Amino acid sequence: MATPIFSNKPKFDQKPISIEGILDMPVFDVIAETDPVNNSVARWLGTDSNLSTQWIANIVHELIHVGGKKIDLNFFFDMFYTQEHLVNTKRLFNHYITDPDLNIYTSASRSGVGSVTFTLLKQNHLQGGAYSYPATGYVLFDKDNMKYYYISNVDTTVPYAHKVTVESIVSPTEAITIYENTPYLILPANMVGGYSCPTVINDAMSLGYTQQVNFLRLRKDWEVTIDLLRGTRDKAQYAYIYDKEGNPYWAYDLYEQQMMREDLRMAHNVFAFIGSPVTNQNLISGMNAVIDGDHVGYYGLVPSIKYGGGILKPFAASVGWDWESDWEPIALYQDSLKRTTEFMAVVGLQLLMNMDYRSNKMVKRQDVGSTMFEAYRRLSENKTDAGVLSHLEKLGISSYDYRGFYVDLKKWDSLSDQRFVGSDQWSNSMIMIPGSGCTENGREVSPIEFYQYGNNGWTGDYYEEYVDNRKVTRCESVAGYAAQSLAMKVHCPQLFVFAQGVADA
Amino acid sequence: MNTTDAVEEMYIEIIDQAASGYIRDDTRGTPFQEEICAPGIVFVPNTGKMSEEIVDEKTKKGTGKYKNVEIRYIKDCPTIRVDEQEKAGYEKHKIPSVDTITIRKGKTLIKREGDVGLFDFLKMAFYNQQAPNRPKSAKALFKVVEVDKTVSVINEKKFLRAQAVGKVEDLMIKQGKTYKFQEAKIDSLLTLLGKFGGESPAEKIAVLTQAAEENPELFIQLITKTDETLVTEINHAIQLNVIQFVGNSVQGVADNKIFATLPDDLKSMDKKIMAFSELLKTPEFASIYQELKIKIEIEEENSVKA
Repeated sequence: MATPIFSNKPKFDQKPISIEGILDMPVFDVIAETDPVNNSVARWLGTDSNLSTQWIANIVHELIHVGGKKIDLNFFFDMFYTQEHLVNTKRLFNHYITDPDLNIYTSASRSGVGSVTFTLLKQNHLQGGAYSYPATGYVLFDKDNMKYYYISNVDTTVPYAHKVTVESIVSPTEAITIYENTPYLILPANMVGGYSCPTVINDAMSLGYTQQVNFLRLRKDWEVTIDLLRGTRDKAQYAYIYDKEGNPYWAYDLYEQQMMREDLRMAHNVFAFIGSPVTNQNLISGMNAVIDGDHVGYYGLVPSIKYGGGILKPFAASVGWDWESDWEPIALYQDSLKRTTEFMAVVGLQLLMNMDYRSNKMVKRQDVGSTMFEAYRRLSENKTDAGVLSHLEKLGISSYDYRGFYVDLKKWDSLSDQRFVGSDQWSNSMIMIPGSGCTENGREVSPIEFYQYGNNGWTGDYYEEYVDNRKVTRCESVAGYAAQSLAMKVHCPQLFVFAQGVADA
Repeated sequence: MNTTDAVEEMYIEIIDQAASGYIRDDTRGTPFQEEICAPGIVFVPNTGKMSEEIVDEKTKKGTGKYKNVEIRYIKDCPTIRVDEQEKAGYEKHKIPSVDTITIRKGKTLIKREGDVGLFDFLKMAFYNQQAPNRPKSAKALFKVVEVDKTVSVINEKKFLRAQAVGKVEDLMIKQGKTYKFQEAKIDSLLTLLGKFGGESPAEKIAVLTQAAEENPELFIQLITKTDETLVTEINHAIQLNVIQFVGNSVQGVADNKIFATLPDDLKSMDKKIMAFSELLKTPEFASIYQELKIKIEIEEENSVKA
């Protein structure tokens, strides 16, 4: 980014620590602080127990949390999770059809007199290059010039290089040129005389894509010896442990159970946001396998958009998001394919600020009395004193509406929460979720959906178990685990827009 | 990158590509499986920076130091430097969508003709991974794929492999239903490659064929060397324990007679053999060459008897 806020060098305030680690902390053993002789303070100050007792007595507060807003570990589901669709298979197939393009292109410009033969662009071929759209008898239309040609022959001998011959409908001596990079419309009907016999050309289009979606199953285990729960060696002065949100815990089993729930949820959220399926076969099968072929996971939201044919809009981070130069070309592209005109955009704070900056420059601010574009507003801090306008407010943009294209902006706090998934990159990003356009048999479907498998009441949904090992293995410990399967589908990524600020130098 | 008709062209490809799971229906499971791996469309920023050498004002020569200058793509503007554009009176188009740069489905071909500014911008902007003096801090969005070069390299490798395998084929001659093998040469080749070839000549040929396919370049290099009669014979002599290289001298194995003394700086066996073969070509070494040949013949006969 042009203006990095955070250093790339790790400066962690805190790192998760194990129970063993806490019990064996060399310097600040919070459990044993009340022992005037053997506490960690005594180790600092020598053996003078009076000094260390005094030191402990002078600690006024038990716990002050130096923290901001709690980390939103459930950031993704809070934003997108509505319900799970229950399915009874371990893998799902989503079939997509995109609107067919009824135009064809030539691989290179070709000219001729009366007729011309050109090679069809490779991408216009289907099924291993054996099929293509043009057929003898059809019409090739040069839309922009309102000219058309009769297709007199299609040579399909060479796969992926069908040769199409067209004839002038004006005269056998007319000079014809078929240009590359120009779409020519195919009219799939034959021109015939008053009496005609059949010329059968059946059309079958297969323009669909199918994606296999697999479930992701996550599990978290814990185990605590009961001896830890019976009490500490000395009186505990402080809470032993704090969770990721800064909440204090007085018992290890409670803490571990809560962490188990949080960790599972946190992992599912991140996978849904930026995860991708596992493809390393060593992890899927064989001696060192950790998962199986049915639980390789699914494509998260951003990978689905970026790699699945969505709209990617990198913009110069030093310039900022511009509703005219950055958004309008996308709107025109959407219009050229008659795609959705409504978006809900989740945005990081950096992008929002850059956007406000650019937006405020859009209209030249004129003198009082002329048309005003308010970028700032002066307000009185003291309502009773109207003459003193000392409070300045910069105006931001919360939605953008132009020619039927509507973008509703919603700040997504987690994109800039560098304690968790946020970073400069994500803070300078925007994900536009289509408001419409994704349909199944004419019925609108939600662009992001979640799935759960299950059969006869046995599902992969969240399950948690607490085990008292005294009754099982007769060892004095308690344990537990939680596991959850989940699959997510980003429908029609072609309809999504991902905007990302990029460094230009 | 340059074509024969002198119009410079670039085939550019989006760098950030990965599997998406979307596979075209009529291609799934076939050798030509088509998976969507890139955005459907990328709108490349039309403003950026490029690197330029600082020119000394007095000498008008390059100083070898570089600076970043602002560049901008304006449709149909022949220059991309913002300061030059301003000087020449070019302004960015009033309708923003005109100056748009797009890459569809992850790749596109750009020719330097007509709107040359587009080509120059994409070539020089730091968004291009191959842009000159690109700072690492800049985000590379796309790279230039040198199609011709890639295809040529692939072809070259294929030809080399065929050539190398052909050389192995030359080592055996089909006579009726059986093969006759040039065993001495096969053995010396295996020695040079450091491989154990098995017991029978047919097995040895199989090992050589594999070696030829694995590294055709090295194989051809070696076989070309051994094709030269002298080198082959020296290898053969080593194989038959007629001579040996001790330090920088070539000695007879049976009688420790020194045939030649080679320069000190020769480290590898290859170089020593080449140097010795060069010596044997000279008139001074004619008698030694004759002696060597006789000894090889004797040893060959002995090995057959054994």
